[in-house]
Amino acid sequence: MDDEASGVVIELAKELIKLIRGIEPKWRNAYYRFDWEPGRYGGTGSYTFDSKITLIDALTYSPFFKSMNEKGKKLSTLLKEQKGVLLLVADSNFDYEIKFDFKDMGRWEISKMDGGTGIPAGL
Amino acid sequence: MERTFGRNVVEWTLDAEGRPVSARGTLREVFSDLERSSDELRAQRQVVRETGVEGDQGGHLVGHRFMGDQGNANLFAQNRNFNVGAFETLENDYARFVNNGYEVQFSHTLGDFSAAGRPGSLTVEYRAVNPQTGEVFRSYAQTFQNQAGQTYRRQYYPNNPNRP
Repeated sequence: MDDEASGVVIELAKELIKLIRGIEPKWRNAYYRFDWEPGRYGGTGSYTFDSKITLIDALTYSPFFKSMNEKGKKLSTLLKEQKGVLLLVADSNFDYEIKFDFKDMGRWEISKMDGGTGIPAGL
Repeated sequence: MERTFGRNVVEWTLDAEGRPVSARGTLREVFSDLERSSDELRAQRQVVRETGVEGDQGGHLVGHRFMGDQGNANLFAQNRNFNVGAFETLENDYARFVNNGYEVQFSHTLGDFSAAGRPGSLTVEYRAVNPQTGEVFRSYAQTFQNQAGQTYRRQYYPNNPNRP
C-alpha cells in the first residue's frame, strides 16, 4: 500500500473512532465494512460497549457513511482492485487494523439477521 | 410531499418540475398484487421520454408494491437492467423484512442529474428495525450508478432466528 492509500486508511480510522467516541464514550471495539464492485459501493458498521453490540444506523449517521464510503471508494481506486471488501477494526486504545478480501464479496458481513450478532461474521 | 398508503408513509422532496429528488419513509406493509393504472403507465413512459436515455424505463423511487400509483412524484428515468436487477433485489429484501415483522425505514436520494434531469446515481440508506424493541437488525448505506451492471447482495433469508 502506498503513502496515499495509507493516508486514506488513517483518515478512515480517525473518522470511525471519532464517531463512536461521540456516540458511546465507553465503547470497546468498532467495525466499519466497505464493499465495492464496478459502479457501486456501500458500507455498514457496528460497535461494542459492555456486552452490547449496536449497529451504526445508516439513517441517523448518514453524513458519516457518505464520508466513509467516499473514502472507501477512493481507497479502492488507489488499490486498483475492481471489487473487494474492506474491514476496519478499531478499539478504545485507538489501535486499528484493516483487512481486505478481493474474492469473497460476502466476507465479514455486519448484521443481526440470520443469526448474526453485529460483529463482523467470521472475525 | 407526504403520502400514506396502508400503513406505509413516505415523504418525497421534489424539484421544480415535480420530479423526485429524494424519498424517505417507513414501510410496514407489502401490496404484492397491485395493478398499475393507465395514468401511472403513461407517467412512466413520459418520464423516460422527457429525461431518459436509451435503455431506460420509468422506475419507481419507492417500489410500486409499497406505495402504489403515485405518478410523477415517485418516478425517474432508470436504467432497465438496474431496475429489474439490483434495485428489485433491494426491494425484495425490503419486502422480506416487512413480511417477517420488521419495519423498514429508508432514504433514497437521487444525484448527479444530467441537464435533461436524468439522475446518474442513487444512494440508498436503510435500517430494518424490530418495531417492538426499536433494535436495528440491519443497516446499510449504498450508492448505485444509474446504469447496467449494478449489484446488490440479498441480505435477508426467511430462517432468521432473531425475527420479531
